Amino acid sequence: MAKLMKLIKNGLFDENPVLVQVLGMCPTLAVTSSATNGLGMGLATTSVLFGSNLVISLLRKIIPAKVRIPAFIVIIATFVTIVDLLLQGYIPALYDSLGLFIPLIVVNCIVLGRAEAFASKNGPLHAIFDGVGMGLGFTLALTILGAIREIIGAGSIFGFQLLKLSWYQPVTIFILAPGAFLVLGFMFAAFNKIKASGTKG
Amino acid sequence: MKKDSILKNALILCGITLIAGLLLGLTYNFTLDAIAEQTRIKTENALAAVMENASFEETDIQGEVKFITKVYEATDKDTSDVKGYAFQLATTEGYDGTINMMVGINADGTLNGIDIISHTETPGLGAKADDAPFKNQFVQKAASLLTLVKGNSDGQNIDAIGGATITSSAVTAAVNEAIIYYNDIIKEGN
Repeated sequence: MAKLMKLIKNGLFDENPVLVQVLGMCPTLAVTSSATNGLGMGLATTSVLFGSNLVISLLRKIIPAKVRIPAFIVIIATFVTIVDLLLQGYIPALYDSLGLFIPLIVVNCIVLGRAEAFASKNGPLHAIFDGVGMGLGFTLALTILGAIREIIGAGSIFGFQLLKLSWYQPVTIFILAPGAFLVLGFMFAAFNKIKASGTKG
Repeated sequence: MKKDSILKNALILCGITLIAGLLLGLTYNFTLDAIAEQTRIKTENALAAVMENASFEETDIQGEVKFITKVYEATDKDTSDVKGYAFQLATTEGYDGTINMMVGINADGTLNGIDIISHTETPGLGAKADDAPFKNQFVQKAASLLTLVKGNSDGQNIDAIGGATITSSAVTAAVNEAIIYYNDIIKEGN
């Protein structure tokens, strides 16, 4: 059990896919114009990671090493398309804001990376926890990034107006592409600082 | 020996893709109705937003149109008089992707309102086209060409969304086509 919790913590902090491994930059930078988008993209990716890690772990002894990459991609793409169709049919509000980005999960290197680095070498239970841990780490980073950009760029958080527009002039650049790079850079710096002080103490 | 392993690899990969294909087919069928239902609900909500208390009947589109995808004739639910017309429009002249929208024009020649069905404009900027302050400007305007300006919404002027001129002008251009269609084809025809 302790090992499983360590896998979750590993994904959230020690090997956070965005802040430490710097993987999946395309969705990280593209969708985080609001906290809601970041959270939604993170959770959609988590559900795909959960499914793909489980299946790839179960099939790890069947999939031949030489064709493992196409096999992984087929499995991941299948899960992504299933999530896409389910969202479209049953959670239209989320689909409206994420619709464009869901197909991008197929080529999100976090998903393929975890399949290759973890799920293909470990049992299904550990693979699930690794997938969920990495997914939550991705969600955490995207939600924080989205929240900071939304507060500065639109004065709101999760769609609620936080700063009154009568005295706060939103800094529009933060919800446009350059804002993503700026905030992410500061987040890297802050995260490294926290990690460094943690190891010293 | 080597040939065998190539064949085996190919067969396993083939098996995986077959199962994946099967699962996708099942999911597609399973969600088909729900997705069609969502599209229908969205269109109905938009129709109700641009023309209250009316029932709609689709009519054929006449002439060349750029943005109009559907034209509905709206009849009053109580009196069964022709109340006005609803236009479903799709424009790709926005900032990103397609803006699907609905425009309602009253039989007396005023705009009854517009609604955005779906869009992929930038949240916080172009996405404000779906917010009340922008949409409400169109209400009660006369059905003659609208002009996009900055800072006021008097007369036939539409105040552009700050930081989202491209989105504002795409929406206004689409509304203008509905207005032209209304004046040239519907009104002339009657």
